[in-house]
Amino acid sequence: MGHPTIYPTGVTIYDPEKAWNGYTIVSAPDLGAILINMNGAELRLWKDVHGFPNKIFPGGHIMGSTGTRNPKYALQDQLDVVQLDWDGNIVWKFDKAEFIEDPGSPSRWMARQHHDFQREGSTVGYYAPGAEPKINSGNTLVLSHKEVHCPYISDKPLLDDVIYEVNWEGDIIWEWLCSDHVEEMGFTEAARNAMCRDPNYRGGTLIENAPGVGDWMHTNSMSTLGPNKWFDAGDARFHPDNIIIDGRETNIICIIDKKTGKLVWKVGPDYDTSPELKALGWIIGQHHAHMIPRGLPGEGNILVFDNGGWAGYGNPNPGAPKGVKAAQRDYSRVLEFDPVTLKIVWQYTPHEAGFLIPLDASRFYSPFISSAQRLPNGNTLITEGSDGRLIEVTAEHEIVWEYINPYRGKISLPMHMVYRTYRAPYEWVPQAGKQKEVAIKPADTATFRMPGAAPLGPQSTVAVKGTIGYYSGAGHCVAATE
Amino acid sequence: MPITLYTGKNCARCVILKEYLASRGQSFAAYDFQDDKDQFNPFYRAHRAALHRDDENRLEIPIYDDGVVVKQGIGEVLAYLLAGDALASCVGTTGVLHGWISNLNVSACPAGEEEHFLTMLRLLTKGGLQVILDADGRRPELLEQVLKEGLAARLMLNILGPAELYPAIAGGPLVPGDLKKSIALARSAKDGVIRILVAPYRNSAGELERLTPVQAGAAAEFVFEACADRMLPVFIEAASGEGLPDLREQDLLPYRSKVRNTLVKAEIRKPETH
Repeated sequence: MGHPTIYPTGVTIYDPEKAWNGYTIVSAPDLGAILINMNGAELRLWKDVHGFPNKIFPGGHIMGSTGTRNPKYALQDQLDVVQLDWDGNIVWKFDKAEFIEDPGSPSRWMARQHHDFQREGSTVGYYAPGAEPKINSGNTLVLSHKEVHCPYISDKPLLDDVIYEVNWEGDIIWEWLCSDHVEEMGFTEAARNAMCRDPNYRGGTLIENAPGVGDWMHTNSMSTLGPNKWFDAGDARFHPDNIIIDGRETNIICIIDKKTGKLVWKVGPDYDTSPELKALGWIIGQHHAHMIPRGLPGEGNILVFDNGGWAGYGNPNPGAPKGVKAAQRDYSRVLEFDPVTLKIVWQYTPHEAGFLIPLDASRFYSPFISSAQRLPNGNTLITEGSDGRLIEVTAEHEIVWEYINPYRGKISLPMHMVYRTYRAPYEWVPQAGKQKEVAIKPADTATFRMPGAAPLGPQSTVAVKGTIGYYSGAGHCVAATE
Repeated sequence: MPITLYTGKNCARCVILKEYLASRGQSFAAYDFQDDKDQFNPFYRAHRAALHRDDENRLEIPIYDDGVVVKQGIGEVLAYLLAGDALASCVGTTGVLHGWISNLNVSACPAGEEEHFLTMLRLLTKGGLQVILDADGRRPELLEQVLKEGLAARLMLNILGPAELYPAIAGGPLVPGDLKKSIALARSAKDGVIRILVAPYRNSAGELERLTPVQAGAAAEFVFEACADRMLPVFIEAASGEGLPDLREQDLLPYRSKVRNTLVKAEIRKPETH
């Protein structure tokens, strides 16, 4: 789609009466972790603190990392996971996962963390009534990388995902390795064949001579379920300690039994295997799949940013001649669905956004990163990550807050991308003081002009005899599907 | 006393034993434990309690009976024939893994029995078996001889604890110099594995216990003092023990944390990687 070259950044829409007001933590490319208020004022920058993701905790603490491993030798490995106070002091740190010796760098312990972590007290790391992440104690679940060899997946070297449970002292007390459970994931023979040939094989980021590894699963989200109605009703699959993850490259969302390590619930990798899954539709390259915590509207349902884009292993097709990244869709969906019936309870797709599918659908589209957070008033904070657009939408799909990330990567990817954001209540950051909430009405884009540009409207009009006007819903080259 | 062997078909271990007895000029009667039921079943009923089976309920053969003693498994039988009970401490249940033989501990070989131990390994390897040899740091000179002769296909150097616990766990002291030599030998061996083995042992009160994570950390410090290499590739593994619950992989994580304080490359060794 054609994007404008010039457009406003910062907060562009804000309705204080309908929004769930608080602070938002944003990971700005090449800059650090920024805490903004509802009008976009940048209240605090934790400079050069990486965020994969950044999270804001009570007491004005944030989570993040002090840096990323040299991409010549690894893919997205964070050096550590740190908890920082308002003044930037390290309150807690974990890095003792692997001792790394990269050429040209001092040997050191590294967490190799990527994409997610969760602190005890909260299941998902965002606000829910009565479930605050601990800041002075507690265990932390950390999603990390580990090199493995697993012939069931491929004969190639693999970059696997591992979950560590780390205590306050920084010791690993529980560990779960993804490839140990690949046989439980239900890959078809076609998918296995494709994965065997190319398990998302890539060098360290974009550096061609970096050692190649197969990032076969690419887990990008990990959280606990917490107390929920399904378990209360006797469904053991949803034990509060169980962990839900999703794999971007496999299109799988699954729940891990914390005690046995076995997968006890999943959707994907194939969404054509039951009427329920077909109705749910293909979830592709998804991010941030989690169970909405108790106390929030929709509690117990699964909320996921279904990116679309390209992902999954399967039969070769015109869009994926080798069966790698076999499922494709050029728009995104945010889905809230019942994990038992798989019925969609709520969604935000191009249709709800007011864009025709498929003609205009890619106007709501982030093919990678992104997230969705359920807020206490029933709104949903959506991070459309690839372009750095944050929107808060009501249950009725009205945008009541919009923020466009003004920061573009200069060292890393040249994009305005924002991996994930979180909204926190004012009381979590007492240091910031009382905030003004100034409404920002959506500008009329038809009349909005840059200085020097001509105003809207013809300078003269002539009526033409014989013209008949226009039809509503006139045909187009491509049929709308909705 | 007449010697009776209970053997099986296509059993390389049984062939090794028969050939060894023949080389000593000793006569014996051999029965197939499956086909010759009239001979084997009465013997089995009489000795059932003393005979062991593996996790898959397979009976280890050959079985040796001279009317006075019964020995089971090629390791035990050869050790007995070569040295009576002198080698008993360094030969355990050898298992029935096809083509491989394990539970032979070079470090437990008593002084004066070195040649018998070497002879046993020579007979096993000549007979086509691949030896998984255990060592615990003691007797590096004998280990060196074993490796020099190519008598071990795989070497498992088991660090059983910190120095002060070695007498209780291993049955004898281990000095840093011997450990240093053993580590060097394990690293130079083609398929050498160094592991901190969390094994059960009886403490001074006679109670069964196993190494704690803190003690495993102390064992790692002992290793570091000997080899001065914090990058030493070392594994952590649990040995099952009678009367003690098995340690799962998750149970070994505190051990790994303590060991990694000194030996940063420590990893838990998964059973399926054996």
